Amino acid sequence: MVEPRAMGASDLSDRRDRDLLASAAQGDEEAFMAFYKRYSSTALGLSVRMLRNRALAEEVIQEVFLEVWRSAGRFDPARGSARSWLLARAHARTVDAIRREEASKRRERADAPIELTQDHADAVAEDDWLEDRRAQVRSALNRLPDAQREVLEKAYFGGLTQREVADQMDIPLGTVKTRTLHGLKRLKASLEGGSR
Amino acid sequence: MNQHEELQTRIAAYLIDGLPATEVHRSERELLEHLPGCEECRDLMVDLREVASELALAAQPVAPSAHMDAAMRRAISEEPRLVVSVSERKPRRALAVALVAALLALPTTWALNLAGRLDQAEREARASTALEQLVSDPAVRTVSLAGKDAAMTLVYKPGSQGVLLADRLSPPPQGKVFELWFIRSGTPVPVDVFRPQEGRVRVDVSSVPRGAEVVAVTVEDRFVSQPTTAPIFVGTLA
Repeated sequence: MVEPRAMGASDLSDRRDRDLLASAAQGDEEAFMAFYKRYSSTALGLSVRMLRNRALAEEVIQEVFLEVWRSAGRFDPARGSARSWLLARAHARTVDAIRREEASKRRERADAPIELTQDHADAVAEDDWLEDRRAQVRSALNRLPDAQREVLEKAYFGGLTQREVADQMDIPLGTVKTRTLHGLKRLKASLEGGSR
Repeated sequence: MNQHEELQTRIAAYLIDGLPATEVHRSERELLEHLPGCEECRDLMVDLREVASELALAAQPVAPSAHMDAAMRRAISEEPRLVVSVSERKPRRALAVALVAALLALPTTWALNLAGRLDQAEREARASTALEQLVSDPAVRTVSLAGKDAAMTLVYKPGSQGVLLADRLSPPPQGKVFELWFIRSGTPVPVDVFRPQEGRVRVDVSSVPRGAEVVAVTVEDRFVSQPTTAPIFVGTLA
């Protein structure tokens, strides 16, 4: 099959993800576990950072992957990458957990924000392209104006609503809204400029 | 900020899950009304969806524990892929499955129909996933909302999502809409407005408030934050 343009590592990875999900949709457990192995560290890292509770994060992410297993056949590659599909679910489910009363109580009981030791980082073996992409996203995030980055981080990693972000930062809700929009736009431009 | 700019900020908030549960459904409806006629906002939605999810990569990855890996493998081996097959053990869950099976074949409400021009596939996938979660969860409950000449059914999980269903339902008077409410400690919490389509109703509820005692439907002129009429359908939550 002739591809319309040269494929980068990310494109190849996307194709691999699609193939894995297609096989998983047919009940192929090994294909699903390969997809899980590929992204579980990323999804769990996100959830741990948001929840600051590793045990709860593992529960949430396990449920997310189960959801993916059940609904792999519904993944539509025309609507975005499998990675994006998974991570959006991981984020949404973690936000749900944060906002649930029980989760809030468990977070309060946690002694302190979890410290990710070097052991955690060393234990993660990632594909090179994913490490590269991770570095690009972090760099792009760091290049955002402080005001935009702070709003995005509080909302995305804190699981806060925009109203809660406004209250925490003591700024108008409208300012939070526009900083979020402009921050995401700038992030996209930055990633497009340096990713391929 | 005009309506167009306001909706663009709403898109950004929606994509990073920054809207409160009480606003998600309404925002989706407004976006679905706006997006079909606005190429700029459609492009924005597509552009920002991917970048919003990539924010996840900024977090330090954390390797799952051996326990989680093993639990995951065990879970998929034990998890029937067709949710219906796990739900035939209890009458209540069987009922939920029957309802879900029926509603999946239903045309959706007027609000969801707007999605047809852009995001229907995504919404259906999401709704179906939510429903699958509902029927595969032992905590799922069903409540009948009794009315004068008809009834509605709420399938829900306390503190989580739910779906309101009805069939052969007469429409509200001309120019009016039905509005769904939960009542907690005597305080009504508005959910959404809807109209039946060909007598059928399906309203997805993103979050059934924990502690809600009553679910009710009123007739209103438009979405309101306090009911202006007495409920015409009422059900008691377990």
